[in-house]
Amino acid sequence: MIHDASTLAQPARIRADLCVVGSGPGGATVAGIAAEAGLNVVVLEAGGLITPRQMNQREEDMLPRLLWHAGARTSTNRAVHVHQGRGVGGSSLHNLNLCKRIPPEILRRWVRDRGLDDLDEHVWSALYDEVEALLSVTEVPRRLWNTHNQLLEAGCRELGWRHGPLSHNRTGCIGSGFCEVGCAYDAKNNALKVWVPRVVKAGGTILTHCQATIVRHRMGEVRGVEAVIVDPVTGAPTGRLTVEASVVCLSASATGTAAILQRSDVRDPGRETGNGLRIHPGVVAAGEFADPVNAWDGIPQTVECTQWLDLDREDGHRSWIIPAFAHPMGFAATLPGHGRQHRMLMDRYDRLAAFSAMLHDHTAGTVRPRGDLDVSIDYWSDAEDRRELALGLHACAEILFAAGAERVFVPADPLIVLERGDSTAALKDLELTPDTMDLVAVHPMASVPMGADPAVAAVSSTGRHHHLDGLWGADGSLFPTAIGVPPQLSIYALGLRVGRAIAAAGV
Amino acid sequence: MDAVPRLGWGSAPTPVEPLEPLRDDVGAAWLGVKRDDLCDALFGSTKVRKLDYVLAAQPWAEATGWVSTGGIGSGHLVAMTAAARQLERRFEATCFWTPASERALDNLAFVASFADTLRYRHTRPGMVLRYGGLVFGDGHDGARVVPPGGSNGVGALGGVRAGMELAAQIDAGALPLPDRVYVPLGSGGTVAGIALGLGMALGSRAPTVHAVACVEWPLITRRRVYDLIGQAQRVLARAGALELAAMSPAPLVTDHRWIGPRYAVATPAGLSACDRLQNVGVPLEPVYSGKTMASLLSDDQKGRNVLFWFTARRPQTLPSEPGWRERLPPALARRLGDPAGFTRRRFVLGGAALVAGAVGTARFTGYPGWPDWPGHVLAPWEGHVIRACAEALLPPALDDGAYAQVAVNVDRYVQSMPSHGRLELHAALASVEHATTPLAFKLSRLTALSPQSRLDYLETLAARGGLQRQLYRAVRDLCMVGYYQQPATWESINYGGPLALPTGPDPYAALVAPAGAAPPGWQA
Repeated sequence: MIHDASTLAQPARIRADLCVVGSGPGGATVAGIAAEAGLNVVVLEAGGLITPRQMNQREEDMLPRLLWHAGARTSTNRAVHVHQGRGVGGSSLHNLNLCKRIPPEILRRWVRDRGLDDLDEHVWSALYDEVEALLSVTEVPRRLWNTHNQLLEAGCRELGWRHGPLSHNRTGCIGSGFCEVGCAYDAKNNALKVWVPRVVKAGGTILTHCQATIVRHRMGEVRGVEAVIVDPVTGAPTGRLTVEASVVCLSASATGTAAILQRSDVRDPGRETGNGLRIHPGVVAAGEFADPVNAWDGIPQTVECTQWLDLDREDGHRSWIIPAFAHPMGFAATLPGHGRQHRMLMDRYDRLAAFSAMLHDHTAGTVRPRGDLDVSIDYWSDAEDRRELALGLHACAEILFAAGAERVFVPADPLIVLERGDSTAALKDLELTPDTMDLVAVHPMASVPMGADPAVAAVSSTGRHHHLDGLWGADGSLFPTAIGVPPQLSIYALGLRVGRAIAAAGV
Repeated sequence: MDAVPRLGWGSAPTPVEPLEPLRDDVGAAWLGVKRDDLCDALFGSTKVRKLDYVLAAQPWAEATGWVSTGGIGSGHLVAMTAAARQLERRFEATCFWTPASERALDNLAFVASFADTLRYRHTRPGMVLRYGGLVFGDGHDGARVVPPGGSNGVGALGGVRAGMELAAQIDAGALPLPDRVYVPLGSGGTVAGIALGLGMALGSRAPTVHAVACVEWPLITRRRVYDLIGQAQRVLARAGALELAAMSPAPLVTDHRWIGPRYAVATPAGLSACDRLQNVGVPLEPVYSGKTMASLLSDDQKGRNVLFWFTARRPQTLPSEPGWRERLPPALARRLGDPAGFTRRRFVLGGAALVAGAVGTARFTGYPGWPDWPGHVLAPWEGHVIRACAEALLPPALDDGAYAQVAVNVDRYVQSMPSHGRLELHAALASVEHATTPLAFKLSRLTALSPQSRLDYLETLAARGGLQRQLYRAVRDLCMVGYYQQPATWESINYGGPLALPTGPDPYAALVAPAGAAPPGWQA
């Protein structure tokens, strides 16, 4: 069952065969497989249980519940906004349901560079087949593309650029467009819908408002997890929980997992933990159209432009272009400026289309624990990545004009306004600085990269920690590099692999 | 505890002695003293217990030297100097002025004689400004910084061991179970450790630890003590010593009444307490144990078992080199030679402080009342700051109620921010409100400026980049979040808002246990 730990007597302890930290795509999958294999599973989730009935499509109510820091988590220089989900189901509660496989060339590089011989593209392919069936992943039919996505397609078609439809994990979607604040219609085939009922049915326990802080270990063996029980509204600690378990799986996201490992002083001779963070930073350009776009309305992100994404070559372009929009509160905070200038942009809200260039980043950031309950993210794109981001921004502007935009706004400080007919070439040389341009990231990963060599990597290709018996990981932190595509499908796949390995290893 | 490395200092329990003559004076059922001055290592004192763990832990154990700070008469610097001599490490002391009592000079002579480097500033702020990296940094050239007083999570374990040692003495019948244990509160590590050690060993029987502050608030606070307790718990948990749930500290009371004018200045009450203890053969020093004993003597102890924890070093005169004064930094030597010369300086500084106080009082008060302010996170004055920023940054021609609603919405929205995020938010709002003078040369705070002046000021912040732009962005984003969440703003941008929501039973309800229903195996 799902228990709200904040309503229970504290401090407390509980015993389990397996303690899973985090209930997102990785953690929920591991928990489901392990519970169905007969293990006594306890899942710790820092957020609450937010069911579709509680999702009221209001940003001010939902974002504080669905996102860490109410969506205001940033890098230490404040210039990179890192949106990460919480709640039973993790980021799959608020994500936009994009499902893409990691390109084979990246998987081959992992085999070559990290010795992941037993996790090659064929193994991934089989896992993807399974996950796609499980999540009912299908291509979004053209008749369901909203105006916003049609504009991306039209722009690409006009320019002759490579583009195509995207696949999502949705069933029964009515196209409300409120995906980012949680689906009230339960149309997302997410971790809450697909895996959590299986965990409960198999006898697993999910404890909400329960945030793991450290892994307890002694003499090279896991003993359990120490957790803090937090207030459902404020997140302030109210008590402590000790989980006694000889097996622990960390699935607390690429920031949370790396922070817990560092807080726990888990051995890491290669010193990779927390040091290779990738986030897929993105930049945005918005175009004003003569007719209403109503970009918030309908299924978001059903079309992609891959003209500037060449992941088959290590030195290829790395920008993935997709439509990106937000409801008024989030959109207003994203736009630059204030007063009349800001209002001028908001007055065009219904006639704006916004395209985002998301970067397959090479920059390695760091994540460190910040106290017991938070993390510190140090990230700013290096010169090469900034140049790619500027190229991506230029491409977004080109597509917008090609699709018929009357003018294009680049939310820099100061605001850049390009009228139809203006040259966009200057955008290619735009110097991005923390003072002039905010980056947005929703895909933290690669903070505990897996690898075969224990002297280098902390975690193996099955998610097993090389240096602490009984410790496993199953989330995006395990990717050795950025993956260039949305990570959820691959995290579910890793969850399957790690969950089965844990079940096979037993307790 | 054995899983955590230590040097092995202070292994023998220090004695507990009854204070019979004083017991009758205070009306206690039992009154005694725990004599950590008789701790067997170095020159005694509870500080030895902290260094026992700190200097055995990484990175200090492998360091080629240590750096630490304290007053010129600091017992901590004495213990560090002695430890460095014994363990053959380099030691750099950084000190600030405190009254030059006979005992303080004795300590200074020892440190000046045997520390490898002695740095000095007149004041603590001056020391932090000049040598901040040596107070809060990691160290340099292979030397590692030991925190002031040796107080961190590892150092507090010395206190934990002391608390458990006392518990063992209680169980062995050396003293009755105390109701209260009085401990000086300096850098916090000793109090944190003793409270945790007593709590771990005695559980619900643990006495109340009555911590008497000898350092000014807010340099030491109850919160800081609990932070140190948390750090010590984590060190123990990581070492596999115990689970956190089994490590509850003893009840803790912090008493800030006895500090007097400031740190290290003797008070009449403290000196009187020293005299009374001297009469029964316990040689207190006035600035830590004297003030703590003064607290004990003033409280109602009728019928209670009370223990006083004597934490200072033994009163012996310490060894020193004959020419130790010549090794002093010139500024310290001058001040020791002419302490009265600072009277003029103090007078001028005092006058400046008075003026600053008057200006500050005017600056930080006088906000209009806000009777229905919800105050989930923000104080009413912070609501006024957001309202004032909203008036400057949002579209014109809104009525005042709309700006006020922005502030109310922001207060609600930031409830889920983590504690450090809230601190940053408070700091940002205070900075935006009061940085008008240093950053924009305006005499009034932001909320007292006209809307146009506020806008000019905020645009100045935005244009300057760096931290100032971050302040602007913080209040700007808050204003946008507070404004555009209001349905009244949506019509003008042609946004329709939420759609019809499904109704009926929650299909996930069957997965959820009732509130308060514990899962199998839950042991509270």
